Amino acid sequence: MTEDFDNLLYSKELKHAYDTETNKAMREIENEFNKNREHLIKTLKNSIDSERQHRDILNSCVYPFTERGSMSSSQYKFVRGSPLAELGLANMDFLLYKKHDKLPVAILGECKGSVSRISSVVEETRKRLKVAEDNIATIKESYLHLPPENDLLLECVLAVPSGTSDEAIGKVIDTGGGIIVWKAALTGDPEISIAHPPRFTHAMNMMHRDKGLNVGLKNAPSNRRFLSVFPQSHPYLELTSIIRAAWPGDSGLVLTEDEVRLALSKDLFYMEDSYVRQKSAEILSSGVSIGFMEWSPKEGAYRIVARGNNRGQLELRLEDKWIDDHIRRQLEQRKSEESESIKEKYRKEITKQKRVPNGWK
Amino acid sequence: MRVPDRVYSLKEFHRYLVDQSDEVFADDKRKRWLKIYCLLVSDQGWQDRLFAANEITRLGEVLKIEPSTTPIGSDDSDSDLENSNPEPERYYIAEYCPGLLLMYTTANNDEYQKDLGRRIDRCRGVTQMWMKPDLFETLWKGILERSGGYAYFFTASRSSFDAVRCKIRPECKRRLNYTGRDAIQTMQEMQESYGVLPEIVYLQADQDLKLHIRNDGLFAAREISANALNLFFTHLDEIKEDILRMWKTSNQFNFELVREAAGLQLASVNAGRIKLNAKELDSVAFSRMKDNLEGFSIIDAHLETGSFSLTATVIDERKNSVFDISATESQILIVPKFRTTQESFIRFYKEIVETIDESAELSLANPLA
Repeated sequence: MTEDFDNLLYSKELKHAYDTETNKAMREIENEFNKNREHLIKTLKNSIDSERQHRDILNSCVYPFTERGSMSSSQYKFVRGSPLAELGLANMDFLLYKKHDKLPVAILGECKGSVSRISSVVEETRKRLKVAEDNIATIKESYLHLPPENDLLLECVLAVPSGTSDEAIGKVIDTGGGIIVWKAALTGDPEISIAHPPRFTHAMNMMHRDKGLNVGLKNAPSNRRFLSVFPQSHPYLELTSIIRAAWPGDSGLVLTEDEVRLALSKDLFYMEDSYVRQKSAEILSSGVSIGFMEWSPKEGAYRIVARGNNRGQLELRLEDKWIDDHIRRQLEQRKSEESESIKEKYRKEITKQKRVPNGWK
Repeated sequence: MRVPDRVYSLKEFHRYLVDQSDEVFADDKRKRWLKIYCLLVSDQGWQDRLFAANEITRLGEVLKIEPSTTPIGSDDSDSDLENSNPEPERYYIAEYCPGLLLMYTTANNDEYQKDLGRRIDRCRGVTQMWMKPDLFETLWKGILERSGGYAYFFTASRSSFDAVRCKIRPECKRRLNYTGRDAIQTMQEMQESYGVLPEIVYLQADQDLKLHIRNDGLFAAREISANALNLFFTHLDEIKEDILRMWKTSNQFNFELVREAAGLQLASVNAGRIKLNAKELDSVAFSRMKDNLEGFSIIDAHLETGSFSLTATVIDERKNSVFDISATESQILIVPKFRTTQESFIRFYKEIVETIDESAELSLANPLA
């Protein structure tokens, strides 16, 4: 492609003009990135922290529905995180399921660690629910092991921090109901509750049909961290699996793909082995590409490129490496877009000039 | 230490030690202490994990251990032959009760560390028997009261800023050794003023009997006598149930996957809980805890201020075990994740007791479930 474009620049003057403009634009972009670097770093660190907050709420919502959890007597089971994510579809955060001969129930939940614009949160939840409804056959067959013709009651939950549940209920009512709001405590004792809507909404499907579940969901004891990685986790949080999986070798911490897979196997217990293997390989590849680790033929394993085995320090290094790499990629992308835009401008000009003899100066 | 190879019950072994103490020490040019290390083990597989077959000789209920020069699990390849004892140290191990082993030796601490200590530190499912401050006190004070003797030396330390009350410069970490006939009174005064907890106590139990007790499960006697062994076992029996209960509790923490009839794979978590009784965890205490946790790393932490909340992954650097924690002001929930082994939880609990709250309790998060 580059060669083709170079051939288009038919004169020395034209090539010079193009090079000058491109170089200037690239310099400006680099200067802008350098100027904003601190802000970019802060934004990325905040995004990691927001993702951790989201993960806390997600854990709070599903932990009570594990086999020994406080809601286990309700017979609802935590089946998986990020259902449909492996198909590349917009997805909810969790799937709960209650087996029943006549009408089994699936609860799809969306979690929000912080809510800046509740209207967009509710809208997004509805869109994701629609995707799930469109793929109900997959949910039945692949996740719940139900025949496709089997009836299934689908309920939708939006879980938000305790302080924002009233706002969420208000917006759900305004937009027609059909979403059940849960509130999760971000601080203090880890617990979840159903947020009760006003009485007049009784026909708006904002409570679970199962009365026992509504009763049980009152300060149900939970746990904010029992799963560290979900299928849709932030790439940096996935990379921390490297530090979990590593062990001391002859020259620093080392790890293998198998160890990463084992370290992830509890977190992603509901995913196929092939998915976990692929995720492990991706994590290792990413760890190498950002320069955090390298293959060590001597050890027959990957080696974390750092002095010392202090994992707290290694985590800081990993974060720095990931952020550097992310900013570099953003910069490359921005430069590539700008470069393409300049090329496009020249293509248009050249085409125009070809129509007008002696046009380009 | 030398004991003739023959079949012993534990009782017979003790009788031999008492009746033939000169023989036991015969190999030792310098007069040594008889040491009994208390070890907690998770299962019956400890022999295979700790020792090579050629290191063990079975003598009835007692195992004789002659550690090879390159012990299992040791990364020491530079053993200093000049300094090593020409006569290799021997260790004798017996099961006192399920989960609790006693290891007898006259080896000094350096030799023990070289031969077995570091091996035990790294071996999964085996650990020296740490005693909580209250249980340690029960042990040594019980021995002291029964024998009518006195303490003449102690080592005490303050490993954190918060765990123990302190009048003078509570922000300082400190460690002190004290020698004197008034060691008990001094210990009490030091505890009140400087907030230190005893770790090692030397007792003059009677005119001829000196004892040495450490909070990591070492009992040592300068003379091998029936009195020394009686004192130790009587008071070990007083605390062993509490220790084994804690050990058993830590063994129940797990994260299992169960497949139900319809084919769904489900998570079953038996989380542990450290309940704080006298102190609250907050961001300042967490920051100090993070800096002071010996042998642990904390990664992937998320902290909410205000009403305190912390989630994180903890890694035991000695055993490479990985578990998640979720903490509030009053409790820390523990979820085993990867390569976990129960002594990691006990050691983490020990760190919390020593750095945050000496009255913290370890239990299952949901014992009724």
